[in-house]
Amino acid sequence: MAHSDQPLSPTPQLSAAPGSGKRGTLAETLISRAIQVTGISTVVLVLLIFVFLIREGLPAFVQVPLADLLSARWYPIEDYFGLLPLIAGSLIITVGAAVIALPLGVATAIFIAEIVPDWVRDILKPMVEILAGIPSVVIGFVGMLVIVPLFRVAFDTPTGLTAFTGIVLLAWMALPTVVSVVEDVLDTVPRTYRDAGLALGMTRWQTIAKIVVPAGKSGILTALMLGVGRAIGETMTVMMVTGNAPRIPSGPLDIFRPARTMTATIAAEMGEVAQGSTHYHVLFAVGLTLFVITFAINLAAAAVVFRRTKRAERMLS
Amino acid sequence: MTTPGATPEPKIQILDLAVAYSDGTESLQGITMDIYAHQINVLFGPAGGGKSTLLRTLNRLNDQADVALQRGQILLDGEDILERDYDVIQLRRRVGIVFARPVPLPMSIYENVVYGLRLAGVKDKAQLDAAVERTLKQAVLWDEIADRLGDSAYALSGGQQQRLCLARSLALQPEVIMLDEPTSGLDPISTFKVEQTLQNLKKDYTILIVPHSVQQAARIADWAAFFLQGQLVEWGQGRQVFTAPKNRRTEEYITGRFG
Repeated sequence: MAHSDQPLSPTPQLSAAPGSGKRGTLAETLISRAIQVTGISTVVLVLLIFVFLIREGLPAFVQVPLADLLSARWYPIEDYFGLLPLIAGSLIITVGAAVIALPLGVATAIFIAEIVPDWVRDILKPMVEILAGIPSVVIGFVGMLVIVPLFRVAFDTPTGLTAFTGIVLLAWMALPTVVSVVEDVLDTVPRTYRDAGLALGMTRWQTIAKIVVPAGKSGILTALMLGVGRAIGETMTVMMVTGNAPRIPSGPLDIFRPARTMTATIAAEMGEVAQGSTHYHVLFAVGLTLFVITFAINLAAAAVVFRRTKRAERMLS
Repeated sequence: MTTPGATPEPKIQILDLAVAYSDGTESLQGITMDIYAHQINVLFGPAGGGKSTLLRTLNRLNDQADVALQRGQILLDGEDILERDYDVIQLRRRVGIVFARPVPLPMSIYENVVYGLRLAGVKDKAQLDAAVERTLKQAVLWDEIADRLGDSAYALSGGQQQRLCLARSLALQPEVIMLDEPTSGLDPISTFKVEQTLQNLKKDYTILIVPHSVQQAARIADWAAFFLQGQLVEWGQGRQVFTAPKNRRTEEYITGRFG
């Protein structure tokens, strides 16, 4: 939301100097073609991936009856292709990570944006962003060596490789995204809002809780979507720490038992499967399911952002 | 240059106030003046003169900004509000402010007006209703929106939003109302309404306003102070300042030779 009263920079005159007219036009054409090609290639790539996924995944729905796909048993060697444990594993771990990452991330963002002095903020913000750059293998590595033994003792389980371990690590991974987005959003809340609150006799905390955060509400939703998007697509970390047992949880305490996600299943089994076999096609069907879920999340995020711009336009009119 | 009639009593006394921001810009230099009760006190002058800084210092909104230096005293009813342990929340309820750009809160018209009261702990519905009607009438807005108090405040026009913000400040029954260019974004009719409102309000309140033009300053000022680059160049009764300025720079500014 840029200030509308900022003067527009004068548009440069595009008339070429005499003599150089032809060369200028050629360069222009080349550059604009190059930009067109790169732009279109992105779209084409996404479409190709989608087509490929459908082509390889659809046979699964023909070769395996739908009832079998929706069964509770994933044991491909014996032709049990129940997707439910995988979907359940992904959902539990993703939702769990979001439940931890969102409040923690929003609180951190409020702390950075609203409470600490500027110089602390200048240190904290880059550090959070560095956290976002840590490769997931490294986080998985730390998880295996530090968190897993800790949880094995703390929860008194035979192994520390549990869904909860994955949840904690994924929350940690999603945190920088959430913090960064929310902090940016809080930063764009105009200072006049804060002043208005303070001028009404609100305390600083009331101003943050009742004016600044509600004003940044849609940004917080976007952060949630992005964080969830990152968590659900994450493969390496969850594969390393969740134990990879495809089972449907029977109660809430089952988050302290192993689980297996869709992504980890694809990554672990794709290398060994016979190409063109039923198992192969089912793995693509899993990928297709994942694609549809992430697509829906992105769509929801876009809808939220779109609604925000519409409201902003109305406010300015 | 005293005119007959009782000398008004000072509500706020500013004594040798200096404010400088940490980026090096000195914003106010040794300001000494009074703000009189039940008068329209006008601060005017070109941009960057320190008028807004003075307003923001008077209710300590500047606590949030990068103020490097603050010296001098501001006495509100004889008490120095710049003291470290002065109750800032209470101060801001006594000294209300309306900004240049209206800032409606993201809620209904009704909730906007009673927001400060709710914060102050008022729960009685009848009392809140009464405050809404009283302040919206004071802000000359009641007739236009009385039948849609539940609508979002964003649905109002800019001029209506500004008067809503005025009503919101009035709801807290402040003693001093400060307005920072309240009509800069308004059409002439809304501007006229706001000015009229101020004339009605001065019976009950002390009004301190930064007008958006010299003409407006001359129209409404009981007392006027001319600020130039952080200095108080001239301060006196409005009629005297605008018809027979003592300082050459004041005269040049008023007659439009710079600004």
